[in-house]
Amino acid sequence: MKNVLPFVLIAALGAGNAYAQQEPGRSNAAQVRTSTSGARTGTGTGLIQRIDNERGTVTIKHGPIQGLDMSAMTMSFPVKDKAMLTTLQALQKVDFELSFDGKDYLITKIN
Amino acid sequence: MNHPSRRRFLAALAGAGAAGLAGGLLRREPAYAASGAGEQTTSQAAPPGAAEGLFTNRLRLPGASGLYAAVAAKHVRQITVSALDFQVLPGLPSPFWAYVAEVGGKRLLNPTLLARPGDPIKLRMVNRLKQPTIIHWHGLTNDERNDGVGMQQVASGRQFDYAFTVRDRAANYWYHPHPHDIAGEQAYMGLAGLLIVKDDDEEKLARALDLTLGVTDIPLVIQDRSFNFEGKLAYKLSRDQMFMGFLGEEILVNLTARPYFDAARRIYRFRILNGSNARSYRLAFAQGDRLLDYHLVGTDGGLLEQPQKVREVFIGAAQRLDVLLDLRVASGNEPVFLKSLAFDPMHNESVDEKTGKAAAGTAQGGADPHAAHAAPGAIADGTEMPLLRINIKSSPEYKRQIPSQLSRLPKLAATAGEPRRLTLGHDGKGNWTINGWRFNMHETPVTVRRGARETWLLQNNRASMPHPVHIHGFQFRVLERRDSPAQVKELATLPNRLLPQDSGLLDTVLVWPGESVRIALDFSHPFSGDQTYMFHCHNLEHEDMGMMIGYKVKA
Repeated sequence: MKNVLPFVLIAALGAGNAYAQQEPGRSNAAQVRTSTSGARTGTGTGLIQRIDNERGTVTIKHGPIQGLDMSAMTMSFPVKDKAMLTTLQALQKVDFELSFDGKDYLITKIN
Repeated sequence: MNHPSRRRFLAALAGAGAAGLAGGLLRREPAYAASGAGEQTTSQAAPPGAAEGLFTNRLRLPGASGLYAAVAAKHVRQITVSALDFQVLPGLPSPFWAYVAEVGGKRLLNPTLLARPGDPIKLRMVNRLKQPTIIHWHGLTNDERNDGVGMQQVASGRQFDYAFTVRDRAANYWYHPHPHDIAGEQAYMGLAGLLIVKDDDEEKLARALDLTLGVTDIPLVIQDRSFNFEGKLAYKLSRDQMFMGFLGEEILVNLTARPYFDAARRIYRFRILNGSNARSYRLAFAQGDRLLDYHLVGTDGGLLEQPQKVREVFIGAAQRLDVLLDLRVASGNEPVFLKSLAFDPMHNESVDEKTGKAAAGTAQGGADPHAAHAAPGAIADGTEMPLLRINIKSSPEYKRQIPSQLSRLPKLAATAGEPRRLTLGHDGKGNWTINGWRFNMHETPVTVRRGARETWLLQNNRASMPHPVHIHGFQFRVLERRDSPAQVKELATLPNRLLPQDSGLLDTVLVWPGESVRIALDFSHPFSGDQTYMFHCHNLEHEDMGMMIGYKVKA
């Protein structure tokens, strides 16, 4: 149900700009076409909502993710290296690169 | 009367406004709770200590130019209502609407206007927005025309000349938009400024405590806002959100997100305006887990007679609290936080009116106030949260003490006979009402005689939510509170179950579900001819939806 809700809402509203928050690393069948043939990469822009240094995640309210068919939403993502979080702060606007291996998301670049 | 279940009620709203919801923000955790907590992922706001590192933006203060710049009102000849770009979040330009004044070659945004009783204010408002607007001088005694409401609203590209005298006591008044139906959006986009009126009592207090505006005498305008993924303000509410009133994802103080303020170990005066569209706060100062005592010295209508020692005070939308905080009582250099304590927001619109309990078939009632009512993505109403970090810096010794006497208040007693009753509620179809009425520009369902003294009984239904009720044209005194909810009753320190802030003159009073507030009004004013004023809920979305009536003062 957790991952279905955004899809249901988006479908019900007939709009592509609904937002939903996801747990880090969870796939979302509603927004992303699952691929088993290797990682895909997308780029996005967003506003940082939260940084979790311990878990190595950053929550971003982002616009559409180009290359991953992901619409605008607020979502938590793990970062490739926790050190990437040290220069970030809440309410900072960032550009980021996101990879998706068919199962998990990973931020590989963020600034 | 039919009281729909919350589920059916919201279903009806969703049907009416589903399209609007597309602009909303859907997620399971309030953004502030998540981001404010740093490492936490619960829906609770972090305690101030944990949030310390997140308050990294210096609090914006009135300066010589720019935002909130302080200027004598009599020097302002024109206010241009403008749409511009402004960095609400650092480095991120956002669409922003401001009252712009050019004074002495400087450009001022939402200037802090300064005046003394008796000062004339003559200025031209030029509307450069793409929609009509009008400035309301909140709290001032003005004639109908200069009061500034929807009946005088000014079309895009047009202008309007104000000319009036400041007739009221020294106090923290403010000016904001009051066009019909769209006040919420205009206030949200930035339109609001303070009008600080000072008199001899004010100056005496400033001398006694060595207070300087903008340095140790600090206006604090608290507003909640939401930003899109580019850090831009946007206002698009669903019908359901309109019914509740806007609740944002971030709390700004002086349009500063996550603000801090460096303070000395001395007494500070904070002139607090709740400039939020709809949100109420339960204000306290905390150092770690310890709540600090502070003194309430003024309300909407100016200084109290004596300071009232408090530890927490509710403030509804549009209300002002004037407080003194003595940072000498803080221990060590651990920062002090201005925060809003947790409270039951009492979004009880679907409870049974007779019993006050959840209607049959619903899970919602007063018992679970947060879960059901948070607009998606917003900080739930009533959430505990820090608002401003106050860093205590080393400073020279300060030996001033708060005076025991501040000012004299005009007496306003209850009148004989039955009070005029005004009941706040909703019609079960998603419309807030006053005595069952909704706003009609051409009707004034209440008429009073100029010079009359009246007692009004403001009754909020149980099946309701808190309403900050604002009366235009006249300030009033609170005489009595009845059937206040426990969280309000426990703060009552004065006879007739009055709150400390009830000891002052008010123009706006927060009335909780099930509560009745008796107020005294004196409809004396110097204006000849009939005058029409507004009585409304200052939850701006409620106002825009029609929770407002005109009342006529008959000459």
